[in-house]
Amino acid sequence: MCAEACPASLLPQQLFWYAQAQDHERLEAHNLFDCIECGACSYVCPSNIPLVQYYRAAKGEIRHAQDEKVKADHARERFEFHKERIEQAEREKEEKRAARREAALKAKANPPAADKTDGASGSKAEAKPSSSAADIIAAAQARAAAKQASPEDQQAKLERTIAATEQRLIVAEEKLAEAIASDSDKQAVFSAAVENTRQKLQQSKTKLAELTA
Amino acid sequence: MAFKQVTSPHAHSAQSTSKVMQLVIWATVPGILALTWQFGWGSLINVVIASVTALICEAIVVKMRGRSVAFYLSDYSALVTALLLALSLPPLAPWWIIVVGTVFSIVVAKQLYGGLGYNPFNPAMVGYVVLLISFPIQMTTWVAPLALLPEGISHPGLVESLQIVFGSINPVDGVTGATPLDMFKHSSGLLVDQVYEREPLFNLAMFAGAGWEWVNIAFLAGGLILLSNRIFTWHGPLGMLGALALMSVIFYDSGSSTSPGTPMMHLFSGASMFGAFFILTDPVSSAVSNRGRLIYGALIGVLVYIIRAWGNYPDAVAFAVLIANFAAPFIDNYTLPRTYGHTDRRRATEKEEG
Repeated sequence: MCAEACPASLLPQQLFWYAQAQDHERLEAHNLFDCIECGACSYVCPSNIPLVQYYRAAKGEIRHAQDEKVKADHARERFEFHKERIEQAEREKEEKRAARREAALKAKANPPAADKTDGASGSKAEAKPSSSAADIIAAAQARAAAKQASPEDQQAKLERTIAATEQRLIVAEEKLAEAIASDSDKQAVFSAAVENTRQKLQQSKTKLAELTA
Repeated sequence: MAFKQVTSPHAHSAQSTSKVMQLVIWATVPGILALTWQFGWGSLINVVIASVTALICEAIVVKMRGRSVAFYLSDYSALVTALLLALSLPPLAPWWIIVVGTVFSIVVAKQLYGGLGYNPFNPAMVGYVVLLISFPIQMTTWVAPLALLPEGISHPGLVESLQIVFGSINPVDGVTGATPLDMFKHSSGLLVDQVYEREPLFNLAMFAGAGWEWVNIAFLAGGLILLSNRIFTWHGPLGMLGALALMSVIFYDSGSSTSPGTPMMHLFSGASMFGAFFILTDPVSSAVSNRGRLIYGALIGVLVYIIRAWGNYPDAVAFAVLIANFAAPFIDNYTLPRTYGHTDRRRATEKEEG
């Protein structure tokens, strides 16, 4: 009777049966979600079964189950991603550690080996980084040379440097004299400074001589 | 304030279970009258004994299950089961046959499975099959129809019938006789035409066996009343009668001596009409969709013919219905109707298959 009454051609009896059994797969196979809840089946039911109520409850249950499933899937995905990420970080750390350990071992093993043989391999190994350092220095010198605009400027600069150094030398000699006079502990320091300044003055003078020559 | 029910519908049709059952009971009246006319008081006595037994059993079991006795007795379903069983039992059968069958129908086949609406098998047919297997002699002794009674002998009167039923006297010789289906089962060696000529059971009848054709016409009329009241759809009965007719036409064998009988005889004797309109239309144990009912009915029709023609029993509606009851959930799984708005039918088992 209910099946004849249903405007959507569903089978209310079967739906009721599976709704009671909470068999969601069967309910969906019987197109429960095509039920428009008109109540025609329940109206004609000789046993007055509240069919629509069962269907609505079953629909709610199915929707709830689907939401739960989506949530669970999402949580699982996030958890798996998190685990993957942690593992990868751990792997990278481990790789770095291994590399460092290896480098240390090499460093420990290589220098004695170089001494024992002819030192060529050792110097070769060292030459590489030093060559790159030499490159950097050469580049810096090139830059500095580029900055030096002209020989006149250079000469003026050197002259200024010589004047300033001479001044500093006079001050240093005075300080040294004072230190000798007062027999201070800093006597050696001042004498070294005087010597240093004097050398610098000498260097600048030779540079100036080279430039003017 | 509590809402009894918040979903639609907020009204109900007047067609309650008890109304439906009462209508079924009324629809059997032509059949009961025809049986009484053709076979004497036996069927009426069957009905009374079975009804009383059924009501008592139902009340006891419902009470034991802790349910409302008045509510379950007032739905008339026990009475319908008793009635259907009583009408399928032979008239003037011993009283204990009827009681045993009814008890089995109501207690085991109906209530132990959960009561009305939960029984996988037709309760009346379960009772009938139990009796047929357990007491074949009593169950296959049918009273001769009115036209076939010997000269000077009539069907026993009401008092005499009661005495026969309760075993105080034996029926007079000649009161019992073969049914048309029995006749064909044991008439090998004779052409169908010869059987029709020789046997009074057929030559006194219009087309299908004296008495039996009237009973079947009466049940057909009762079934049509139910059909016009939309108690069931035409699919089940048409499926069964169509399949039975088709089978009997195919295997009629032009009336040779091995022919299992004419199509008319198969349609209008035995329990054909009774089964088609009152047994297989049981909404609980049959298939649920229209297409499913058509297949279910056709399966019963085919099985009835197979058992009648090549089986050990003269009639087979009960066995066929029980076998088809087994198959009903299976049929249901593969005959879901196309839901409105869908392009294809689905199968209930699609998830399991996929």
